[in-house]
Amino acid sequence: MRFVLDPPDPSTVDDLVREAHHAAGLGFDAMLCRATPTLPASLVTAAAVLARVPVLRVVAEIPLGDQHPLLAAEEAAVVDVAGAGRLILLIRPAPGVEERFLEAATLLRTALRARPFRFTGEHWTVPANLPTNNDHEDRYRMMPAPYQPRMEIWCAGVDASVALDHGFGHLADTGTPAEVLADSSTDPLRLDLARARHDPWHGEPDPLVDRLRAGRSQFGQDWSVVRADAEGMARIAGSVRPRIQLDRLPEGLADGWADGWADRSRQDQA
Amino acid sequence: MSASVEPSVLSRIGLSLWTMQSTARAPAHPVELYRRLARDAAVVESYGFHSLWTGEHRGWYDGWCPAPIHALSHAAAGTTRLRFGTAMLLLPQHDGASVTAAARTFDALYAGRLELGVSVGYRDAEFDAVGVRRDQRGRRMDPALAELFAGGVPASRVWIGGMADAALARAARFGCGILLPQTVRTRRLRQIIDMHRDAGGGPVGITKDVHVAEDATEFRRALRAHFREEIGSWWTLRGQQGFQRPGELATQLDRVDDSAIAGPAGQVADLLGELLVEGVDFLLLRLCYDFLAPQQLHEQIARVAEEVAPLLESGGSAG
Repeated sequence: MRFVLDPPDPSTVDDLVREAHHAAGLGFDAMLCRATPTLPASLVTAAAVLARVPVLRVVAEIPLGDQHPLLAAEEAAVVDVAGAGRLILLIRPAPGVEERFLEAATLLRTALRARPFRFTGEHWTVPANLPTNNDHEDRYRMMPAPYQPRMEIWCAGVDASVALDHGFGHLADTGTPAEVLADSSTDPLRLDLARARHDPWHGEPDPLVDRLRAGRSQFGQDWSVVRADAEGMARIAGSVRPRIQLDRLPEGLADGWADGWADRSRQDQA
Repeated sequence: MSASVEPSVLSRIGLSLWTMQSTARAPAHPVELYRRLARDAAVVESYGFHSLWTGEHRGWYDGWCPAPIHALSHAAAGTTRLRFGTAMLLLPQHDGASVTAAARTFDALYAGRLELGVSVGYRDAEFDAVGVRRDQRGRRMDPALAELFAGGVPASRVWIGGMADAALARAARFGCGILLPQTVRTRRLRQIIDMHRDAGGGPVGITKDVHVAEDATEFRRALRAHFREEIGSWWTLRGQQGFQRPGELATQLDRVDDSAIAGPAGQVADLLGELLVEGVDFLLLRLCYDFLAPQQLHEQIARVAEEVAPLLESGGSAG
């Protein structure tokens, strides 16, 4: 199980970077960057975080369907190269143009494949070959290529089955019923796709451990997005994650884990 | 490494043009190119320059950076004071709301340190990639600029790139600065500055290819080869692609060569000083090219800061 920190809304970039450093230090796999009124372009924010926190991945949430998907692909590719392959792109339907989302997502992924392509869709055609433009090309190649060989892309705001059927990982919002996410498919291609969920954190490890075990069992959950402060992060790192990585731990192993990490958290904050 | 004295003229000098190109003549790892941008930003800041600038092109074989604000957001993380500019962001190829969001985010992250240079662009292939008619590029500029200003990007930090009458009029209309290209001739420069000031425009900046060297022969050779690739591939000369018009291509390369300021520090200072005397407010000196190794680039940054700038400050050359 991998863990993504959803930080409390930062008021400054220093707050965000502090949270990111703390998460990285505790072994979190990634931090979520989403648009806020102060920081509306999450990929610009992601670039800044990736620059200052060398080992952490960043999950950058962007709306898709309003601006040209090719431009979104370029921005993601540049941020991924600058961050040496540590970007996870989380796409969500842009409000008001939800009907364009799947076409936009397909064009985005096509562009990120790092080879010349031609895309013909209802809303976008690349290259457009507009009669008034000269130098028509049959195909277009987006550059630079992402540094990852295959850009990790998750969908949110759509059904899991829709995301998976189109070859994207899926992030389920908090409160999504398990039966909606349940997936008994053994298709190896589907098993390669990320299954993530926002999981509530109320300070106690046991309920989260139980929820994650159920998620893994019901729909193959392998990423958990949690909102937690510094102490919460320490408890998750010290008492949740160690207990969820294997199906079963030897009896007695986990005894006392919680106290140890609580001590460490207090030391870190001292 | 830092200059012991920080002349005020450095506050009127920005350095360019970081493009993150891995060209056939100078191949480089893409991740390393973006790391160099960040390292170079720290170096440029340490010398006290005003700003560091990148540009935008899309769909080119060498990975020319297509998202300048995003690249700068990564690079700026290691700085505290240096300003960062785009020369130029091709505004008609973008959605105005997205550029506004990116600019506002950069400014929020970095305390307002963005200088947004925008121009209409010219490559048909780039417009066609994003489904925009090239012949409507001018018509798309004003609404996009209005969206930027309505979104909180101040006109005082926006630079209109170009020297065509339409660009000058646009800069004056919105109260923006104007960023002139390298090849503007001195007589035309005075006309532009006078017109721009009379119309109530913002500051006047000019881009110049610059290299400090006792013997600039090798630099000029490399500069011609660099621009031959760009002009030959991208420009339409007398109705045909540049490479198909070798005579016209050579003429354009001669113009680049003639307008480049390359030579000993005193000579460079004299020529830059003439621009300031003519009324230019801001010098955007292109020191960064794909064909310069990182150490060579750092030497150029140091020489401009430690040899050229003091001469500009004192108003004289070394001899």
